[in-house]
Amino acid sequence: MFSRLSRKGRVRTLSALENLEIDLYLLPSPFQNNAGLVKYVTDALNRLSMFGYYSEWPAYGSTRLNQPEHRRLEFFPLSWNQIGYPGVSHGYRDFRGFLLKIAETRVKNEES
Amino acid sequence: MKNPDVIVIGSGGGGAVIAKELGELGIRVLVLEAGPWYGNKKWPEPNKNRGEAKVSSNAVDLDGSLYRQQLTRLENDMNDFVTGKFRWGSADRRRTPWFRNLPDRAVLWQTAGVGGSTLHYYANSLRAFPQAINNEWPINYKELIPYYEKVEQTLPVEFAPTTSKEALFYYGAEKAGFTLNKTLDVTRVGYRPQPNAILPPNEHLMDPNYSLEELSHMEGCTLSGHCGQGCPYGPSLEKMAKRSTNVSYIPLAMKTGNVTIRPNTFVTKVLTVQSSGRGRRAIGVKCRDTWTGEIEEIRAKVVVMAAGCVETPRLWLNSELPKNQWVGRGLTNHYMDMVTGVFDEKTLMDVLGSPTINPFVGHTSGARLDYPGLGMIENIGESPGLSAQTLFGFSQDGYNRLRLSDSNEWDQRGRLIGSELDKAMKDYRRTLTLSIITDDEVQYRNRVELDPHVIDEHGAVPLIHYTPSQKSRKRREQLTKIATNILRQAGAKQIHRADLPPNYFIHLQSTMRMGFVVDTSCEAYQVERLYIADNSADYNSLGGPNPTLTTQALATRTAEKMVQKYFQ
Repeated sequence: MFSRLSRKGRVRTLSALENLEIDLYLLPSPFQNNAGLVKYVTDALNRLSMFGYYSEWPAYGSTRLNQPEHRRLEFFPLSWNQIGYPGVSHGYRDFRGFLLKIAETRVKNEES
Repeated sequence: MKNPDVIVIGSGGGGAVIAKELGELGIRVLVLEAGPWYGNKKWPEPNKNRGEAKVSSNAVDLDGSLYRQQLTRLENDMNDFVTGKFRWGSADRRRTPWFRNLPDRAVLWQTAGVGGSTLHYYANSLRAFPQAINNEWPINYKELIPYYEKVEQTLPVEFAPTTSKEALFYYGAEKAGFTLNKTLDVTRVGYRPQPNAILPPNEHLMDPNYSLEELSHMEGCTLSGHCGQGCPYGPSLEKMAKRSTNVSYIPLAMKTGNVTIRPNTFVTKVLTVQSSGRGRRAIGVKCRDTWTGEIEEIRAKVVVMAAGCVETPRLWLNSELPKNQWVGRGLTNHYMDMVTGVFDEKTLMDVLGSPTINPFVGHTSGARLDYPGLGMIENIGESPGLSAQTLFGFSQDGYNRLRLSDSNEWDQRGRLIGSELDKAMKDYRRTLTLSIITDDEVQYRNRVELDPHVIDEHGAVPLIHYTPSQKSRKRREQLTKIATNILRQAGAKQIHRADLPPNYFIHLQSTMRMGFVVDTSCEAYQVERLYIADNSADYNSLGGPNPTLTTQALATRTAEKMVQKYFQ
């Protein structure tokens, strides 16, 4: 049912779930009459999808559904290419100096 | 270690500190940690098998290259709440995380492992606002200062270096009318760099004769932006740039020769006997090996609970300790929000001299605006998956597309999907995000209690309720408007407000409050020889500042008080 809905229909359905605009009694266990769990899971569906897509997870490719110890990166994540994230870094040369050092606050304390 | 003087439950922000301080005073300490140990040769594959040893007490076991191999800096491998290495769960990642019942939209970000949540923290090491301590707490701010200083020197703490995102924040804050406040003790409104427990950048960082890979094996921050993934950069484990307690206080504790640490061990009960003094007296703990399921009892003269704001009250309640109506009560979490500004290339060229901000560069959070009375605002630049999830996937306002209100204050508000999300993330490199962190008012109704229906291998699980007070809500709105104005003043063309749900737990505090559950030396009123050394002992939410440094200062102080009382 859900997968046959239009995009907008799916979003409206998720929205109805998280706002509890449904008859909670009609839901299957463990969601039946369990408003807190419905809200938690609906929210997590959104968060985990976004985290998964924009992290390196899709790049585990054919191993992405394995247990975490048995995943291997097979390519550079497509989403990181899309947004220009360079991936794991050793560092960046963007040091623009210090606005303040702790030693300066100590001098001030002694003066006062 | 047989018959330790003190058992410390948990090796995070507080537990590691009190272990080191007690060890230096000649007390024999056993630290029990529920999660794995990264960077210790005795557990070369900490997530795959239980290893041959049970404990480690010698700093020669610590290994920086092993740590680097294990901390891959990949956000899914490290930070996934379900299967990440930095999750609240056992070392064996085939098992599900340890369950907490949060009946709402919720994120509760804690890590099990030697170092605890300091494994993933951004190392922001703030002193409390004096006005939130004086005439509020049962102790005063002045009493804390020598302990703050000691922790700041030990970690050590230094103000964050400026990278593009800090430069843009300072520019916006100046234009919004704020001034630089050169202090560690904040009594007025102003901006400043974050005092962070991160070693200053290596002096050769900008010298192209040194490759970045070479620099990552040298001492000092490389601005890699991997604070949240643990940052395994440095010449050895104890010189890693980000000063999680597993690379700072734990090695120092081991060097005293008096401290033994045992990972993969979950404490399920504090053992007590009747006593004439406070009613009960702690005599040890019952614990469970998370790999084998073996259960045992260990005795000690003193027990310290440093299991964090959720597990410490849970442990108290599961141990059937005396009833105290404030146990688990008064939970605060700095009721947070996030606003993200998108800048165009021309503005950035004018202000920064470069067409991008690259928020993933530098300390993850390097600049702040303190606002005593309301809380604070800090910049934040996480990696893309964590950014997408928190900024565009988590909201009490639902989906931006379905939004009914037509307020002009924010161009977008709430969850983004489809083309909106695609666009927002394609702008990622030209964004500046500000995090709103509220001086959250203590409410008795906000709490950690036992779930009456769900029991796991460690007993009844925690059930957590939090709804902010009217005052906290008002303060958050005011701060969000100030942060939005800073972004506009800096030149942001478009601003998105996440409008985070209240149950976003990063700075959990005050569930075992001083003056209610523990006395001013952090010993339980009703159980002698039982101490607390984590954020739960805080009287309030410190006015807004990040809680870790205060917990570490208090733990240092508690060690002294405990030795004076029981070991002299």
